[in-house]
Amino acid sequence: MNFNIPALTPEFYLTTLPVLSLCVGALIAMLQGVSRRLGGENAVFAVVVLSLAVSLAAAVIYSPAVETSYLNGSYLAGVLARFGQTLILVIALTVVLLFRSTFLHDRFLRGEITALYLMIVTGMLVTVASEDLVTLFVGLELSSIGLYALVGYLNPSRRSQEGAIKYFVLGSFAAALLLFGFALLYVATGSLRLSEISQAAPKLLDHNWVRLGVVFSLVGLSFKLALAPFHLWAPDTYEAAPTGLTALMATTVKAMILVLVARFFAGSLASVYHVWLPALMFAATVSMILGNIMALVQTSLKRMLAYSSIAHSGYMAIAICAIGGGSSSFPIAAVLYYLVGYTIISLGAFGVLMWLENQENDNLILDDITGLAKKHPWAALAMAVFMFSFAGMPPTVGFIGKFFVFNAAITNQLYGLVIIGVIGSSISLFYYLRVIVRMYMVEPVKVAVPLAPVRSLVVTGILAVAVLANLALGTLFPEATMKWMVNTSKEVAASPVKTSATGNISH
Amino acid sequence: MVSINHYLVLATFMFLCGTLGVLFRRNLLLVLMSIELMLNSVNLVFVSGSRLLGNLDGQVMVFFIITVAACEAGVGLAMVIALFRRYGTVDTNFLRILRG
Repeated sequence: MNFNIPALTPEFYLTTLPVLSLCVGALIAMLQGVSRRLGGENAVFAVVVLSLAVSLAAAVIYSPAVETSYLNGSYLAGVLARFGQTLILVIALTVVLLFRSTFLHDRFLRGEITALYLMIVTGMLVTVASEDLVTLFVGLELSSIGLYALVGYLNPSRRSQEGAIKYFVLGSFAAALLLFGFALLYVATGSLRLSEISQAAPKLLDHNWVRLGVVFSLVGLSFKLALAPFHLWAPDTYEAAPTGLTALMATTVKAMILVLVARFFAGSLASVYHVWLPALMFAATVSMILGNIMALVQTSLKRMLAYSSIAHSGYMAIAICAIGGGSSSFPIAAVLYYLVGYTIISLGAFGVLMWLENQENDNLILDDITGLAKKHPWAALAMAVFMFSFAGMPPTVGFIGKFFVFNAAITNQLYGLVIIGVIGSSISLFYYLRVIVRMYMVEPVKVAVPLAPVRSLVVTGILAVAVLANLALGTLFPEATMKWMVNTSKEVAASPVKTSATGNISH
Repeated sequence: MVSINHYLVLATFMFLCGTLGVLFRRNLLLVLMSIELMLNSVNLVFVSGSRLLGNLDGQVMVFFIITVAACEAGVGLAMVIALFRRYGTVDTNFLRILRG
């Protein structure tokens, strides 16, 4: 077996610029961590924002027309990868800005923390652009290991330590399960490349090791996506982590894993869909029921949003089920649309919480926000909009997202899942609307630590953009956005990968 | 004659031992060791698959898995030390603030 050593063309550097820029930023941040002179808060902020902005600009501007793979098929540049990278970078940038304007700014803006943060984002960018199980695994673990460390280290307390340990143990366990699945798929198909696995898979339909491999991979990814019954870490970790990180975990990790699931299950393993479909349908059903019911009894807002995020994973899994073995790109587009909507809503809701929090009280409960509309009418209004969209009320993006997902499921005759999804949504109305009722219709109650948020132009701006984007996607442009998503997901459904001149494998 | 199935069965057995260790052990160090055992059983599958197929991809994957496992152990042991400093033990039964 001989490899052609790839010649690194300018085109290659342009495609990988998003990743490279973050790597350079992380290295500089690491130096800032050990130098008092270079590591001032503003300098650290400048480096992290600059590297994220360069990366985002590169991801938006340069996009190859045809899906092309580089480095012996390890790095994939195409529309879907670009979409995932752009979404992740926008979230990461927003979270940095939110951190900067809240009480944790001096803890967050230190070299060693931002270095970890940039590496987490790097790992996610690599994962969504991977066409090879090696790169996929390395990117996934780069992001996960950084997150384990940050959850426990960003704002150390008994609670965050416990959350970090639970996240670490279950996350590594999930990684081991995923790897075992990959290993069995490798033995059965003889390749680590997704495109070659998809060619070899149909011949091995009844191979028991293949079945086991597919199921193990699905379980591993369900852990990371927090699908029930593999969700046990999610509420604890989401509650324990500083709220900015919770926002990052709830959105970017979902984005990364869903792009991966779309490419891996709907693309490569589409021919063995009868193996993974029942398992995923089961996970979706349990997530929607359990997530919504458990969210009813929570008093901590972060914990409630954690259970609600489990339920939303379930809704997104419905659309993945709808892909089945078919080659229609509509279900994938529905997932991506839902993902964009969920990202906007989550960032907004967690942004409001971040703004209200302070050092003494960084885990708000329902009593804390009771009567919020009197003291902070605009924050309460924004929160109300986000709760309405989470619940899926028109005219918000949450409604359109659910509409597309259920539509995709009905087209593919998954009536049972749709019924459960609708029941789940109606249960969820209760706890989302309870937040609104508490904010608007109940007199403030006495709490131990009163909230004293400082007015911040950045937070106001982010929340305003989130509210407007939410309403605009829900009313003015659902169709245009959906068309864009369908174009984005076409390459998964078709999926002939062109191998570039900069790297092909000859056996 | 030792076939690929023998290796796979051995690896599955090791993997099951590791899984049971993660699920039932209460000592965080033993949990970490169980995770390592699971990762090593994966390595065994990759190496035997690579040998069977005459294809080096599996060996490459093993190098990456070993490296990532080392990183994971680094973060994990740091957490064990933090836990020990706070509670004087590495028993996971002490982790019971977050519930519900």
